[in-house]
Amino acid sequence: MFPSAAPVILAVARVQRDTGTFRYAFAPTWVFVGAYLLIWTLFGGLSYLGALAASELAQQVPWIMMNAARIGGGILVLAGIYQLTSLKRVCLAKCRAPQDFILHSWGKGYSGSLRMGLKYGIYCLEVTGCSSSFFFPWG
Amino acid sequence: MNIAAMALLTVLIFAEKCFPPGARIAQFAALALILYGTLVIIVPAALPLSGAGM
Repeated sequence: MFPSAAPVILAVARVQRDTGTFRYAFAPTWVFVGAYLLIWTLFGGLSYLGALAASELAQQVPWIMMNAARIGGGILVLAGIYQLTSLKRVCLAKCRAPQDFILHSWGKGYSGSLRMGLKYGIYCLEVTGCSSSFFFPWG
Repeated sequence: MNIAAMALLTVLIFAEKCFPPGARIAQFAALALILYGTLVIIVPAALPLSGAGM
């Protein structure tokens, strides 16, 4: 999901450079990117643990093994329904408009950049998070 | 993890986030997921599981 964050990262870098608070604009920008990546790394780790637990469970309960594809189908339907919820819609709108996000969520200094990165990461996770469960059927 | 499924998801999210009709793409994806999921529930063989390739 990293490439799709590029427009926001570039916008943050531009605002940092133009405000000139920092001698090197890339430093707070990297704090922002780091916080964003932290959210995704945590999510990736949790998903992996979830997948391990699910496959462990599947080995103990034959019913899950026999109906693995059907359960996968159910997850796909749930992911589709999630796509239509207002949570997904609101977060997608936030994720899509970097100027708007920066205007309303701008944080000063390194701690502000950190907060902003975490917030943006969580918004984007909401956009993708449930759709990512759509890996599991194939996983 | 299936690389093709991951690539597909990445393209979808990128399109939702970066292309002008993003919200519409999300709705289209919703419809596609629901239809395909329903198909898999009825015909489980429609879902290529890991090891079987895609």
